[in-house]
Amino acid sequence: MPRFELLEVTKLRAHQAGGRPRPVLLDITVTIPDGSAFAVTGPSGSGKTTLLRLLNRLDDPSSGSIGMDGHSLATLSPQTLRRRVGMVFQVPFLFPGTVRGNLALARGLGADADGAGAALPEAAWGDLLADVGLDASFLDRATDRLSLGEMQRVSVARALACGPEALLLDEPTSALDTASASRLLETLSFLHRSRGLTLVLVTHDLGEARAIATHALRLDAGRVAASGSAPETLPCP
Amino acid sequence: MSAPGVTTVPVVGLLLCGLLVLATIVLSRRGRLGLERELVIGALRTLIQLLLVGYVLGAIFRLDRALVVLGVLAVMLAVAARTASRRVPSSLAGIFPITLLALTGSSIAVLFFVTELVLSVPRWYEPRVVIPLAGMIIGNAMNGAALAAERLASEARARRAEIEALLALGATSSRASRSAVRASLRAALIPTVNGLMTVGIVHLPGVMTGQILGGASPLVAVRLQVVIMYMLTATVAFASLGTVLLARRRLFTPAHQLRESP
Repeated sequence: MPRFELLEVTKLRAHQAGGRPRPVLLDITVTIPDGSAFAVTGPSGSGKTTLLRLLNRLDDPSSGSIGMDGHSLATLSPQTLRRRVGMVFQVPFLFPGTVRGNLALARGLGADADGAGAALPEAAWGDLLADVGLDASFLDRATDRLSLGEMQRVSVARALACGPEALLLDEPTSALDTASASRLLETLSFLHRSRGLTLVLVTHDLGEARAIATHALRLDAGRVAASGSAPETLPCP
Repeated sequence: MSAPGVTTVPVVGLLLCGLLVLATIVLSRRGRLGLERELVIGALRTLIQLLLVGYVLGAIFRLDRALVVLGVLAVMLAVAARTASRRVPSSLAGIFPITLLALTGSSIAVLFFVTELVLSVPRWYEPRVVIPLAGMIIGNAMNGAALAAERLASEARARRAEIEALLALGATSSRASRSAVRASLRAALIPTVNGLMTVGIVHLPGVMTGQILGGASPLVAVRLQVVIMYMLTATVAFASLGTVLLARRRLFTPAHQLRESP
């Protein structure tokens, strides 16, 4: 069944925990189409990361709603939602041990969620690593011996091991050097095209957004400055 | 009136002992340690507080009523729970009900296990046994709970990236905080485990010393000390486990979100 929107954000408002009165996000209404590569851009402090964290309920909004496939996020169990909408953080965090151990942990955590069925079998992990640009020998590498770029690739693979429909990425290249950053971007673009994976990419780098995005949202001081297809939304230099 | 064999301190001896503090005060003055005032106040407080406790315990023992013993236990538990809940970081502010519940559950269970099954005291509220044991148990439970709670809050802060990475992979909040809980329990138990390892070699515990000074044979004193060491080990474990498991829920929202630490 074809879907047109995956995530539907309506009149979203969010405040910083700790109770500063000024909202971080103000009346955000936006649609993230299924299968899109959706860039969220804007200057720092404009609420990009806050919005991203609301999409898999690592935080909750103060008002407004987010729907996924027509269901409010609040009606899904947080565990199921987070396995359907994976997340890659700005600074990769890998668990001590091997890459294989990290993928096994991601698969094992499916037992806590009803959405466990989508998790990739171990036999598919080699292909999974190939998709993120690492060869199968990485499976048995110790995570503390990886470069930052490799760690970020493993954290993408680990999120994919849960079998998500969408991947949220919070400035995934900002901790990397230029070469690793552009290679990671190519990987993400490949995953989007080959797997039809919906990407939501937070970035302050307009060039990066233009390189990969089909759709985009520009935030300014917590409000929507522009949204829609990437060419309309992201001004050319 | 004193039991045969009990070492008593005559009043003259008590006064003479004050000379030891005086010597320390002179030392502080000569060495410009600036501790004279604190030493005088501390020495006086020791005298007054212990005299008061002596009178109060005497009165409680003479009253010999179950209700009075229960009242004393309640006061001890309330003060200990308040103390343990006050020194925690702000992310766990207001955990008094938690420490009260954890201290009460662990202390009462261990106390009556020891008095009823191990020592088989004829009356369950026997004040001469119950009150000193309860003092030790509740004091240790308090320290264990405070250490565990403090450590839990700091682990949750330090392990934020790890916890959120786990949550984002679909872990429940209890799964995501497992290693923080483990570290907190270890931190709470380490002083007790160290005590188990070194007791008798590095220090002679107070109860044993007291019994020997009181005329008991060392082997009799040792038996009671073993009971006390084991009893305190379980107390610390139960009190810190209870505190950590209940306090952990304060760190997360019902939707398995790690709260922002202020």
